[in-house]
Amino acid sequence: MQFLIRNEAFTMNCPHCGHDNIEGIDACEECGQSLTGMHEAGSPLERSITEHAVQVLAPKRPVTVSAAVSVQDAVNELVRHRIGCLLVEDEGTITGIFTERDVLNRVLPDRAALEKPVSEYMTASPEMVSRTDSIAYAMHAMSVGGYRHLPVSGSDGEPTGIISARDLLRFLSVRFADIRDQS
Amino acid sequence: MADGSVEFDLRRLLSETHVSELTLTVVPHLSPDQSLEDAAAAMREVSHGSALISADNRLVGIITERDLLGLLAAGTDFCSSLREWMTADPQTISTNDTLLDAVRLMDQGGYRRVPVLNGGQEPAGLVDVKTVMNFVVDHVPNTVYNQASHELLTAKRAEGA
Repeated sequence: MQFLIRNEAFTMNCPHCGHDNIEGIDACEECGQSLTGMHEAGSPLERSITEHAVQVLAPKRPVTVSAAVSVQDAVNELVRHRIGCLLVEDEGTITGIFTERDVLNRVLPDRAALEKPVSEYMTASPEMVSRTDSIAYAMHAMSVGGYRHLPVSGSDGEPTGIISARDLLRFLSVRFADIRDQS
Repeated sequence: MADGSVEFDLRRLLSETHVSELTLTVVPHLSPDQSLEDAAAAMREVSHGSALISADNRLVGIITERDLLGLLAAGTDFCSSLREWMTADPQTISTNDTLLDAVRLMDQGGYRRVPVLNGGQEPAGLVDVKTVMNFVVDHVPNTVYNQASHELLTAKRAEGA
Protein backbone atom coordinates (compact mmCIF):
# COMPACT_ATOMS: atom_id res chain seq x y z
CA MET A 1 0.00 0.00 0.00
CA GLN A 2 1.23 3.45 -0.83
CA PHE A 3 0.91 6.27 1.59
CA LEU A 4 0.33 9.86 0.84
CA ILE A 5 2.64 12.59 1.77
CA ARG A 6 0.32 15.12 3.26
CA ASN A 7 1.93 18.37 4.01
CA GLU A 8 -0.93 20.82 3.98
CA ALA A 9 -4.62 20.69 4.53
CA PHE A 10 -6.61 19.93 1.40
CA THR A 11 -3.76 18.86 -0.79
CA MET A 12 -2.15 15.50 -1.30
CA ASN A 13 0.91 14.47 -3.18
CA CYS A 14 0.59 11.66 -5.68
CA PRO A 15 2.76 8.75 -4.49
CA HIS A 16 3.58 7.94 -8.13
CA CYS A 17 4.76 11.28 -9.52
CA GLY A 18 4.66 13.70 -6.58
CA HIS A 19 2.11 16.01 -8.17
CA ASP A 20 0.17 18.09 -5.67
CA ASN A 21 -3.50 17.26 -6.08
CA ILE A 22 -6.65 18.61 -4.54
CA GLU A 23 -7.64 16.28 -1.71
CA GLY A 24 -10.39 13.80 -2.44
CA ILE A 25 -9.99 13.35 -6.19
CA ASP A 26 -9.84 9.81 -7.57
CA ALA A 27 -6.91 10.02 -9.96
CA CYS A 28 -3.77 12.10 -10.18
CA GLU A 29 -4.23 15.11 -12.48
CA GLU A 30 -0.67 14.79 -13.66
CA CYS A 31 -0.06 11.10 -14.30
CA GLY A 32 -3.56 9.66 -14.12
CA GLN A 33 -2.71 6.99 -11.53
CA SER A 34 -5.49 6.03 -9.16
CA LEU A 35 -5.56 7.78 -5.81
CA THR A 36 -8.57 5.99 -4.39
CA GLY A 37 -8.30 4.29 -1.03
CA MET A 38 -5.51 6.61 -0.03
CA HIS A 39 -7.47 9.42 1.49
CA GLU A 40 -7.61 7.99 4.98
CA ALA A 41 -4.57 5.74 4.90
CA GLY A 42 -3.21 4.43 8.15
CA SER A 43 -3.98 4.43 11.84
CA PRO A 44 -4.44 7.49 14.04
CA LEU A 45 -0.74 7.33 14.85
CA GLU A 46 0.27 7.18 11.21
CA ARG A 47 -2.01 10.06 10.34
CA SER A 48 -0.78 12.05 13.28
CA ILE A 49 2.91 11.75 12.44
CA THR A 50 2.30 12.70 8.80
CA GLU A 51 -0.10 15.54 9.56
CA HIS A 52 1.65 17.11 12.53
CA ALA A 53 4.65 19.28 11.90
CA VAL A 54 7.84 19.15 13.94
CA GLN A 55 6.69 22.40 15.58
CA VAL A 56 4.19 20.39 17.63
CA LEU A 57 7.12 18.86 19.56
CA ALA A 58 7.92 22.35 20.92
CA PRO A 59 11.59 22.30 19.88
CA LYS A 60 13.89 23.62 22.59
CA ARG A 61 15.85 26.80 21.89
CA PRO A 62 19.35 25.85 20.85
CA VAL A 63 22.34 27.00 22.85
CA THR A 64 24.82 28.52 20.44
CA VAL A 65 28.53 29.18 20.85
CA SER A 66 30.93 31.02 18.59
CA ALA A 67 33.25 28.95 16.38
CA ALA A 68 36.22 30.54 18.12
CA VAL A 69 35.44 29.37 21.68
CA SER A 70 37.62 26.60 23.07
CA VAL A 71 36.48 23.01 23.31
CA GLN A 72 36.84 23.37 27.09
CA ASP A 73 34.31 26.23 27.09
CA ALA A 74 31.97 24.25 24.86
CA VAL A 75 32.18 21.26 27.22
CA ASN A 76 31.42 23.55 30.16
CA GLU A 77 28.36 24.91 28.33
CA LEU A 78 27.03 21.40 27.72
CA VAL A 79 27.37 20.65 31.42
CA ARG A 80 26.03 23.99 32.62
CA HIS A 81 22.90 23.85 30.47
CA ARG A 82 22.49 20.09 30.99
CA ILE A 83 22.15 19.54 27.27
CA GLY A 84 23.62 17.09 24.77
CA CYS A 85 24.44 19.41 21.91
CA LEU A 86 25.42 22.96 21.00
CA LEU A 87 25.18 24.80 17.73
CA VAL A 88 28.31 26.52 16.51
CA GLU A 89 27.98 29.89 14.85
CA ASP A 90 30.42 31.74 12.67
CA GLU A 91 29.71 35.30 11.48
CA GLY A 92 26.00 34.93 12.01
CA THR A 93 25.62 31.56 10.31
CA ILE A 94 25.30 28.16 11.96
CA THR A 95 28.19 26.11 10.67
CA GLY A 96 28.14 23.05 12.89
CA ILE A 97 26.90 21.05 15.83
CA PHE A 98 28.97 19.92 18.82
CA THR A 99 27.64 17.00 20.82
CA GLU A 100 28.44 14.72 23.73
CA ARG A 101 29.40 12.14 21.15
CA ASP A 102 32.04 14.44 19.69
CA VAL A 103 33.47 14.71 23.21
CA LEU A 104 33.58 10.92 23.57
CA ASN A 105 35.03 10.32 20.12
CA ARG A 106 37.36 13.23 19.55
CA VAL A 107 38.10 15.05 22.79
CA LEU A 108 38.56 12.34 25.41
CA PRO A 109 41.29 10.57 23.40
CA ASP A 110 43.16 13.85 22.91
CA ARG A 111 43.07 16.26 25.86
CA ALA A 112 45.08 18.85 23.96
CA ALA A 113 41.80 19.37 22.10
CA LEU A 114 40.40 21.24 25.11
CA GLU A 115 42.50 24.28 24.25
CA LYS A 116 41.57 24.33 20.55
CA PRO A 117 38.63 26.07 18.87
CA VAL A 118 35.39 24.12 18.92
CA SER A 119 35.08 24.53 15.14
CA GLU A 120 37.85 21.94 14.73
CA TYR A 121 35.91 19.34 16.70
CA MET A 122 32.32 19.99 15.70
CA THR A 123 30.38 18.17 13.00
CA ALA A 124 30.10 20.66 10.13
CA SER A 125 26.89 21.32 8.16
CA PRO A 126 24.55 19.22 10.28
CA GLU A 127 21.40 17.81 8.77
CA MET A 128 18.36 19.92 9.69
CA VAL A 129 14.62 19.66 9.40
CA SER A 130 12.24 22.52 8.82
CA ARG A 131 9.67 23.28 11.51
CA THR A 132 6.98 22.64 8.87
CA ASP A 133 8.28 19.15 8.07
CA SER A 134 6.17 16.30 9.39
CA ILE A 135 7.08 14.35 12.50
CA ALA A 136 7.33 11.26 10.29
CA TYR A 137 9.96 13.05 8.24
CA ALA A 138 11.98 13.87 11.36
CA MET A 139 11.73 10.23 12.48
CA HIS A 140 13.01 9.21 9.08
CA ALA A 141 15.93 11.64 9.19
CA MET A 142 16.96 10.48 12.67
CA SER A 143 16.54 6.82 11.91
CA VAL A 144 18.50 6.94 8.66
CA GLY A 145 21.20 9.30 9.91
CA GLY A 146 21.45 7.72 13.37
CA TYR A 147 21.22 11.18 14.95
CA ARG A 148 20.02 11.85 18.46
CA HIS A 149 19.49 15.56 17.85
CA LEU A 150 18.21 17.50 14.87
CA PRO A 151 18.28 21.28 14.52
CA VAL A 152 14.93 22.69 13.41
CA SER A 153 15.00 25.63 11.01
CA GLY A 154 12.54 28.48 10.93
CA SER A 155 11.24 30.35 7.90
CA ASP A 156 14.60 31.94 7.09
CA GLY A 157 16.38 28.58 7.11
CA GLU A 158 18.34 29.34 10.28
CA PRO A 159 17.95 26.91 13.19
CA THR A 160 15.55 28.11 15.87
CA GLY A 161 15.15 24.86 17.78
CA ILE A 162 16.48 21.39 18.56
CA ILE A 163 14.54 18.16 18.78
CA SER A 164 15.84 14.93 20.23
CA ALA A 165 14.97 11.29 19.72
CA ARG A 166 13.61 11.45 23.25
CA ASP A 167 11.17 14.22 22.30
CA LEU A 168 9.87 12.02 19.48
CA LEU A 169 9.54 8.97 21.69
CA ARG A 170 7.73 11.00 24.33
CA PHE A 171 5.30 12.37 21.74
CA LEU A 172 4.48 8.88 20.47
CA SER A 173 4.35 7.08 23.77
CA VAL A 174 2.34 9.66 25.69
CA ARG A 175 -0.16 10.32 22.89
CA PHE A 176 -0.54 6.84 21.50
CA ALA A 177 0.45 4.38 24.18
CA ASP A 178 -0.92 6.17 27.26
CA ILE A 179 2.24 5.31 29.10
CA ARG A 180 1.39 7.70 31.91
CA ASP A 181 -1.87 5.89 32.51
CA GLN A 182 -1.09 3.18 35.05
CA SER A 183 -4.03 0.88 34.22
CA MET B 1 -3.62 -4.38 2.89
CA ALA B 2 -7.35 -4.71 2.37
CA ASP B 3 -10.05 -2.64 3.95
CA GLY B 4 -10.67 -3.54 7.56
CA SER B 5 -7.00 -4.28 8.11
CA VAL B 6 -5.91 -4.20 11.72
CA GLU B 7 -5.05 -0.68 12.77
CA PHE B 8 -1.64 0.04 14.11
CA ASP B 9 -2.05 0.30 17.86
CA LEU B 10 1.14 1.42 19.58
CA ARG B 11 0.05 0.61 23.09
CA ARG B 12 -0.92 -2.91 22.15
CA LEU B 13 2.27 -3.40 20.20
CA LEU B 14 4.41 -2.19 23.12
CA SER B 15 2.51 -4.21 25.68
CA GLU B 16 2.62 -7.41 23.62
CA THR B 17 6.30 -7.23 22.78
CA HIS B 18 8.68 -8.67 25.34
CA VAL B 19 12.11 -7.24 25.84
CA SER B 20 13.51 -10.67 24.91
CA GLU B 21 12.13 -10.20 21.36
CA LEU B 22 14.07 -7.00 20.76
CA THR B 23 17.49 -6.60 19.32
CA LEU B 24 19.14 -5.24 22.44
CA THR B 25 21.87 -2.67 22.16
CA VAL B 26 25.22 -4.29 22.68
CA VAL B 27 27.22 -2.39 25.25
CA PRO B 28 30.65 -2.84 26.75
CA HIS B 29 30.91 -4.73 30.03
CA LEU B 30 33.54 -3.59 32.45
CA SER B 31 34.61 -4.36 35.99
CA PRO B 32 34.42 -1.78 38.78
CA ASP B 33 38.21 -1.79 39.01
CA GLN B 34 38.68 -0.56 35.47
CA SER B 35 39.29 3.12 34.84
CA LEU B 36 37.21 5.94 33.36
CA GLU B 37 39.67 5.93 30.48
CA ASP B 38 38.91 2.23 29.87
CA ALA B 39 35.19 3.00 29.83
CA ALA B 40 35.63 5.82 27.29
CA ALA B 41 37.72 3.61 25.00
CA ALA B 42 35.25 0.73 25.25
CA MET B 43 32.30 3.02 24.40
CA ARG B 44 34.13 4.44 21.39
CA GLU B 45 34.88 0.97 20.12
CA VAL B 46 31.19 0.06 19.86
CA SER B 47 29.91 3.61 19.12
CA HIS B 48 27.59 3.55 22.07
CA GLY B 49 27.37 6.05 24.91
CA SER B 50 27.28 3.82 27.98
CA ALA B 51 28.90 0.82 29.60
CA LEU B 52 27.56 -1.67 32.12
CA ILE B 53 29.69 -2.55 35.09
CA SER B 54 29.43 -5.98 36.61
CA ALA B 55 31.16 -8.08 39.22
CA ASP B 56 30.73 -11.86 39.51
CA ASN B 57 28.22 -11.80 36.62
CA ARG B 58 26.05 -9.40 38.54
CA LEU B 59 25.23 -5.88 37.37
CA VAL B 60 26.59 -3.38 39.88
CA GLY B 61 26.57 -0.10 37.96
CA ILE B 62 26.37 1.92 34.77
CA ILE B 63 28.44 4.78 33.42
CA THR B 64 27.43 6.98 30.49
CA GLU B 65 29.05 9.46 28.13
CA ARG B 66 27.08 12.11 30.00
CA ASP B 67 28.89 11.13 33.21
CA LEU B 68 32.23 11.28 31.39
CA LEU B 69 31.39 14.74 30.05
CA GLY B 70 30.71 16.05 33.55
CA LEU B 71 33.85 14.42 34.91
CA LEU B 72 35.92 15.94 32.10
CA ALA B 73 34.52 19.40 32.84
CA ALA B 74 35.35 18.92 36.52
CA GLY B 75 38.92 17.96 35.71
CA THR B 76 38.62 14.46 37.18
CA ASP B 77 41.53 12.06 36.79
CA PHE B 78 40.42 9.48 34.21
CA CYS B 79 42.76 6.90 35.73
CA SER B 80 40.42 6.65 38.70
CA SER B 81 38.22 3.58 38.97
CA LEU B 82 34.68 3.19 37.73
CA ARG B 83 33.66 2.11 41.23
CA GLU B 84 34.15 5.71 42.37
CA TRP B 85 32.08 7.33 39.64
CA MET B 86 29.52 4.85 38.28
CA THR B 87 25.84 5.05 39.10
CA ALA B 88 25.56 2.07 41.44
CA ASP B 89 22.61 -0.34 41.29
CA PRO B 90 20.70 1.32 38.42
CA GLN B 91 17.05 0.58 37.76
CA THR B 92 16.71 -2.39 35.44
CA ILE B 93 14.15 -4.39 33.53
CA SER B 94 14.07 -8.09 32.82
CA THR B 95 13.91 -9.86 29.46
CA ASN B 96 10.43 -11.01 30.56
CA ASP B 97 9.15 -7.44 30.88
CA THR B 98 7.35 -5.77 28.02
CA LEU B 99 8.50 -2.88 25.90
CA LEU B 100 5.73 -0.83 27.50
CA ASP B 101 7.35 -1.42 30.91
CA ALA B 102 10.67 -0.24 29.47
CA VAL B 103 9.22 2.91 27.88
CA ARG B 104 7.37 3.76 31.09
CA LEU B 105 10.47 3.38 33.20
CA MET B 106 12.41 5.60 30.79
CA ASP B 107 9.66 8.22 30.89
CA GLN B 108 9.32 8.21 34.66
CA GLY B 109 13.01 8.21 35.44
CA GLY B 110 14.02 10.51 32.57
CA TYR B 111 16.43 7.78 31.44
CA ARG B 112 17.75 7.54 27.92
CA ARG B 113 18.53 3.86 28.46
CA VAL B 114 17.67 1.01 30.80
CA PRO B 115 19.85 -2.05 31.44
CA VAL B 116 18.22 -5.42 30.82
CA LEU B 117 18.84 -8.38 33.11
CA ASN B 118 18.68 -11.92 31.87
CA GLY B 119 16.40 -13.69 34.33
CA GLY B 120 18.67 -13.31 37.35
CA GLN B 121 21.18 -10.53 37.88
CA GLU B 122 23.21 -11.04 34.74
CA PRO B 123 23.18 -8.08 32.29
CA ALA B 124 21.95 -8.91 28.77
CA GLY B 125 22.34 -5.48 27.17
CA LEU B 126 20.11 -2.48 27.28
CA VAL B 127 17.05 -0.85 25.79
CA ASP B 128 17.60 2.74 24.72
CA VAL B 129 15.61 5.43 22.95
CA LYS B 130 17.10 4.32 19.64
CA THR B 131 15.99 0.70 20.15
CA VAL B 132 12.43 1.81 20.73
CA MET B 133 12.38 4.35 17.90
CA ASN B 134 13.78 1.83 15.43
CA PHE B 135 11.18 -0.66 16.59
CA VAL B 136 8.36 1.83 15.98
CA VAL B 137 9.81 2.89 12.61
CA ASP B 138 9.98 -0.78 11.58
CA HIS B 139 6.27 -1.09 12.35
CA VAL B 140 5.12 1.98 10.44
CA PRO B 141 7.71 1.82 7.65
CA ASN B 142 5.58 3.16 4.80
CA THR B 143 4.53 6.20 6.72
CA VAL B 144 8.03 7.01 7.87
CA TYR B 145 10.00 6.10 4.78
CA ASN B 146 7.72 7.76 2.23
CA GLN B 147 8.58 11.14 3.63
CA ALA B 148 9.96 14.06 1.72
CA SER B 149 10.76 17.39 3.24
CA HIS B 150 8.04 19.98 3.05
CA GLU B 151 10.63 22.39 1.71
CA LEU B 152 11.69 20.03 -1.05
CA LEU B 153 8.08 19.55 -2.05
CA THR B 154 7.46 23.26 -1.99
CA ALA B 155 10.53 23.82 -4.15
CA LYS B 156 9.34 21.16 -6.58
CA ARG B 157 6.00 22.89 -6.86
CA ALA B 158 7.63 26.24 -7.45
CA GLU B 159 9.80 24.84 -10.23
CA GLY B 160 6.81 23.30 -11.93
CA ALA B 161 4.84 26.52 -11.76
